[in-house]
Amino acid sequence: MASIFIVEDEAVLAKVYKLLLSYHGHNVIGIAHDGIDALEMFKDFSNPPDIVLMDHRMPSMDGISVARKIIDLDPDAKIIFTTADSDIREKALEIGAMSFKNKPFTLHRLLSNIEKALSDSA
Amino acid sequence: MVSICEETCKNFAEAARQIFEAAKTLTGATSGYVALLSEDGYRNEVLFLDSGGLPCSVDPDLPMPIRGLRGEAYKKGCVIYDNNFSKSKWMQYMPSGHVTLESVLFAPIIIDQEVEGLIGLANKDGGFGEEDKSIMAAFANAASIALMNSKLLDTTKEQKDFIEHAINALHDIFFVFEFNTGQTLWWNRAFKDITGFDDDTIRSMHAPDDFLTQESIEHLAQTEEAFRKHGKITIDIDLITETGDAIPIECNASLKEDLRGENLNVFFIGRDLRELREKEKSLKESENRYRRAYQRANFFKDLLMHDINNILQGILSSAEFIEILATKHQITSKMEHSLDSIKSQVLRASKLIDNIRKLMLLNQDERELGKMNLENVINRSIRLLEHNHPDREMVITKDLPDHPIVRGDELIIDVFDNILNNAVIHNNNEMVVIDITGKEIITQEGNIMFRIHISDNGVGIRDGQKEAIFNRSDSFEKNRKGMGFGLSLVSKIMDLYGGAIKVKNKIAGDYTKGTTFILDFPGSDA
Repeated sequence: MASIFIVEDEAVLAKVYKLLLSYHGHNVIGIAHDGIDALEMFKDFSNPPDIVLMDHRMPSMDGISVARKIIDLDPDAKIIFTTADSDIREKALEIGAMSFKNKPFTLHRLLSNIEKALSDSA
Repeated sequence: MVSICEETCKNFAEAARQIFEAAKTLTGATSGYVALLSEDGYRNEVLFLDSGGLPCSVDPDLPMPIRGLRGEAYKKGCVIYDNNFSKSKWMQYMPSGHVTLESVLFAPIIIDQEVEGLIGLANKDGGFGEEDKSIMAAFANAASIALMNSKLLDTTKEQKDFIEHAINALHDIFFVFEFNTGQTLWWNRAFKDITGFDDDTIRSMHAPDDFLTQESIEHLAQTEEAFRKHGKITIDIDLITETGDAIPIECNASLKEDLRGENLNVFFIGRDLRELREKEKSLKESENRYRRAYQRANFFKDLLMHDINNILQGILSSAEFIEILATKHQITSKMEHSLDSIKSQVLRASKLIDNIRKLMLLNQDERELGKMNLENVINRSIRLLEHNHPDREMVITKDLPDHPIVRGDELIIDVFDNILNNAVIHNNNEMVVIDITGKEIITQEGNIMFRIHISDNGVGIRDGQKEAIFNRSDSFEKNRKGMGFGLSLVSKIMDLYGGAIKVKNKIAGDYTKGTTFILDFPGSDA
């Protein structure tokens, strides 16, 4: 079981992610719908999440910028990009994202990535 | 004293008359003529005739053929005379009514060893002698020089007229002025037409400054040193017109001494750039329009692809959630089938978007190629295939050469994804069978190539469609479906790698038994 922070501007998607992840036993500790909110919420967590699911194209700040700042705050942060912008894959991995999921992806794949990220850190 | 002025020489007839008069005076002849040979070479054409006051009733229009003693002079090319002409055999050629001739002398006018005409003298009291012969040889020589000079002047004038005509016929401007004084010397019609100035105005103007905008004067001043050094220059200037408009001109200027070597002249040949500038402007506007349209199309494409993928993600995740909920409440087979349909259609739509995006990328970018291990790529593609089609039974065999390192990039996975995915999607058998074999070959040029065969037991491709499947994305016909762009993408990727793709029936002559794709990948040093 992992604590997961969802950063996704599409409210419907964020909600479905939460339902699916919760069903599989994970704990969604927060949902942010834009980049600046995400950064503020991350700073406010008393315990940083095990996993951050990060969208890219969002209001106020894009996912790459948010991820970069989160990694500055917490170099051990495990960020999985979940985005429809396939052309930022290299950039995301370059700045330190654990993995990159190009939308649309199946839950099964996302869960595999979460498990892999957790096992890599174990 | 006999003198022939230079001015007179310009007109041969006048010069010839003076020569004739001098010859007549010196020899004591009382009549005669000067004639030139006709163009056909058969007749004398008389320039003038002096009958010496004797009656002559010959029709002046009567042809004067080259014959008799005259013919002899033409033939021999030297001065001849006969002091007993009226009793000579030559009299038979004389027309009736001709002035009485006692003594006759003919001196041929010769240019380049060809007799061009005659000076004829007659009726010298006491007859002609050897001294007259010498005198007339000298006068004939003078006439030859005068004739030559006249011909030269004619030719020069013709050439001058031709050049003037040609320069005036030019659409380009032609303009000459004296470098140090700025005096205008020569200009053509195009110069007048473009500037609107008349000849007198141009003559009174100071070149080049009076003809240029201030900016062009400064521009020209900056290039003066180079112009003096190299003697020529190509420069864009703005010519100012009578109405004050500035006309852009592409100008080639040369600096040359005049014929006397006294002054330096500037020769300007300039092309009116107005039309070109208009076309450039129009082209630029058109480019901008298309660039904006292209950017807009790209923006919409990007937005569309992004948002549709988000929507697809919502559908897929929702379907998965329904599946989870339904499992709790014993999902029915119909529901299960519908959910599978939703998921497969979402993945299909996603694949279409991905293929179109990559096709556009291939058309836009210069891609950098590196080394790719085909075995790793194929293994990854097989894993993905099995993952995407968990409900299909598959037997995939693989026999590849060692270290199949080829030139490629990350798009190489799409080659195998598309071919393998088609082998499953277009397959009605319970068991999908795919054989992947490869071998290393050496091309005629001595290069390493990896040839991969991928055979399946799918529905096959009709012969008439085999070529078209690789070119579907190249047509912009309306009503075309986007599905099926996968093999176009494969073909373009293979082109990018310098490779090739072919398709044939797995069993010769029976397309229904499945398909074999043959892919040639250029090798890369391991």
